Amino acid sequence: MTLRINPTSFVITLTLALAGVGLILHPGSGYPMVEYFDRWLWNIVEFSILQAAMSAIFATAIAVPFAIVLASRPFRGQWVVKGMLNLFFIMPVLTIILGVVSAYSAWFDVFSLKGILAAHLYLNVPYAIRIFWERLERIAPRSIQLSQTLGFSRFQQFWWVKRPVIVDALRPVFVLIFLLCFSSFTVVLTLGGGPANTNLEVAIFQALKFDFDPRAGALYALFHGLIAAFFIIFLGRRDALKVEQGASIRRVKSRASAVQFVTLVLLFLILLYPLLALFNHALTTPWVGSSRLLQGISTSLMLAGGSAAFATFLALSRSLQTRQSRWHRFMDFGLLVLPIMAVTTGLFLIALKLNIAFKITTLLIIWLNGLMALPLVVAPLNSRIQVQRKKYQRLGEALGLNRWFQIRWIFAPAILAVLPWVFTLAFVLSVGDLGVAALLGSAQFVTLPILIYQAMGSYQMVLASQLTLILLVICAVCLLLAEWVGDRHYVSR
Amino acid sequence: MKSYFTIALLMSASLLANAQSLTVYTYESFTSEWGPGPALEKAFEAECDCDLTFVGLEDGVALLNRLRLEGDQTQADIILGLDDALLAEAKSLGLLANHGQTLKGLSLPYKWTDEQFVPYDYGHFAFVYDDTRVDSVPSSLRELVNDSQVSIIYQDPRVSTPGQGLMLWMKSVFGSESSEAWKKLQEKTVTVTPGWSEAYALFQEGKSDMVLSYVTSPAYHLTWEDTSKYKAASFDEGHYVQIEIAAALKSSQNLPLAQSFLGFLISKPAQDLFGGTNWMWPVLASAETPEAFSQLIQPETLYFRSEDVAENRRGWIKEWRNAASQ
Repeated sequence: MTLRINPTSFVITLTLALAGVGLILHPGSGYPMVEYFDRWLWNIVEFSILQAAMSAIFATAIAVPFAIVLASRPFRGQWVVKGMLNLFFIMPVLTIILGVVSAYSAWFDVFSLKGILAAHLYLNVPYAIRIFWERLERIAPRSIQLSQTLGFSRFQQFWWVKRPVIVDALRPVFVLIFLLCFSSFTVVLTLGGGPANTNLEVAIFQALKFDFDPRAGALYALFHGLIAAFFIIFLGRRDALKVEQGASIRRVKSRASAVQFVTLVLLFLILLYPLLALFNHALTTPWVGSSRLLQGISTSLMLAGGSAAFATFLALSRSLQTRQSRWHRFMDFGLLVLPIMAVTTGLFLIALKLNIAFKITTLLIIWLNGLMALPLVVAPLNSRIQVQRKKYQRLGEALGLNRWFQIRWIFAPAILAVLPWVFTLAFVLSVGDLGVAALLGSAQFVTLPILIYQAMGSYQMVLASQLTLILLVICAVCLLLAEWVGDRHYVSR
Repeated sequence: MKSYFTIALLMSASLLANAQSLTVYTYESFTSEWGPGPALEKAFEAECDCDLTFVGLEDGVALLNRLRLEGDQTQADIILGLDDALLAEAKSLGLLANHGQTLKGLSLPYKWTDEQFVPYDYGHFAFVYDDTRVDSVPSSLRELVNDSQVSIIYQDPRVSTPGQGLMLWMKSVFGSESSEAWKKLQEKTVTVTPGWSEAYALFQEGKSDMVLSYVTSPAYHLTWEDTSKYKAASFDEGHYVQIEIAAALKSSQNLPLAQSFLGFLISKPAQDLFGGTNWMWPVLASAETPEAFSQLIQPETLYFRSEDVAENRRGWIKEWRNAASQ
């Protein structure tokens, strides 16, 4: 057996190794270790776990009833609903945050745990609905027919056929949302950040930016990694890793039922309210503008372009790989919940030590944003390639085609169709990133999200919402372009 | 995409081409359109034939952390907006150049002899309140902490110099009992903001009864809003003072220009601006201030030596952080 190292695995392993080295060999003296194990450490650990658990509990509790109603019967136009739910998962986090601020400031103090929870719910409930919905749809028609033959009442059908499916999905969904919120940075930084509302990710950032205490940053990063690993290993099961959904292209003729219709209206109202409030906030006041806007936008586009290219390359090399070991699947998932601040800190510290930290800012951001986008863009590519592989593998083997020939004639056509979409998805995921750029950039380094954060920081909410609108328009234009250029069929499934 | 990239390249190229440029790291409110930044920029650019750029960070303490982080790789020529409490700690980094100014005719709360930092304005911290909304105003920090029912907003001492000022004020009044005092103050605290701007904005929206600001803040409202309803509470123990300071960096490519900017800061044209834009007392005795300054309270001065602050700051911040994160 030849030992071939896959570029993607190599990049991930190298990143983790370098980050680890950076965290251990950090510059800066720090203080004696025992000083860090104080009240503060326990407070931030407690807060990190508490807010993540609350977010995950509420998100699952809200998502389940929606999913049950939506999945009760296929209806015409459900792909639009699914598309919108997906959109909330890839939409820039800052959009949601500004939306929550614009929409709910009058109702409660959004700069608090409540605001953090609200933003986390907006980010995760749509995703959770999507997963439960998929799971319920996957119930074999036979089971439903059987239950009807047996004369089950609606409730009995729910209890004996659907309930087990939901219960099965509860744990993976809960764990996934818990981990995503546990690693939440942008939301907690912008809506919390005060000493009472700080999680480990934000504490890592503050240790570096406020105290320049790399040892504290490294320690918090270690805690973060260990706790996240604990939850992945002890709570996550294999099926938690399979969050990507299989395409079910069914021609649906029937309309939504009355209950479904009411549910849909309610869902749309709740989801769109903050976005409408954001539009309203941004458009009813004259344009404020910022002298560094052009610079911010061009830097953001350049970074996102680089990150998207990098992510697409990694995703391609990952999905063309024939071996699908457990480790690879674990890495796909692990990246999704990776404590990105910890990794960023590690790389930043190495770069500081080498005295190149502010010379390679762009490179580092592209590298990290590319990795962050990878787990989400690998799914569509992977499913395409698996389909082709199933169809043509026998033929390929029978004809004795070599690997490159297979890639050229079997995989390339399928890949090319989906590539614009993959690239755009990675682009949209990267263009809204705040954390990595905010940690790595020098004071003069501006991206569009950094400008938004600074505007929020100086309480210029109108400017912040106007800039967020620009960000949203950039994302929307990109997604529309991709749909136009690429394979429409895939997107609208 | 490509054209944006070209624009970005062109922009960075044009920055390189202009040798006579000064980059000043300062805090956010200094650079805002109603702050001293724009007026100073205009006045200095008129006499230096150079390009002056202000980069606004969250607040004063963030500047020191930024300097630490960027070290001699920083793009800044000047750091402006630290205060006297942070002086020793900033100097210990070994990144600063001498200012080369004579510092004549300055009037400050205490004598100034530093060779690297130039003081440009000063003020005493105070809790500001709206007279029409708050009935019983505490007359001392002890009363505020122990007995008063008012709600307050203040700034994060890890980021903001006013927040740090409160920390030092608490320390000079409560000494070894500060931890207990912080816990009591926490019950009255609506929120702790990263910088002065947010705190003051939230206060003006009515989110709290009082906000940590300066004795001089009411002068702004007297001058521009013609209202005397905003007042600074006078505290018996005295008020902690802040002298705002600036210095040039050794790593600057334009050191002589940077030094001349420091000289400009304490010249009369610049000093005349500080009262009416930064709402602080100018350091030049002969500088003009808005009329409203005559109506301000004149508190007793409290301050620590910056060497003592440098030695204890971390411990004091920990004390605050542990109490405030409850």
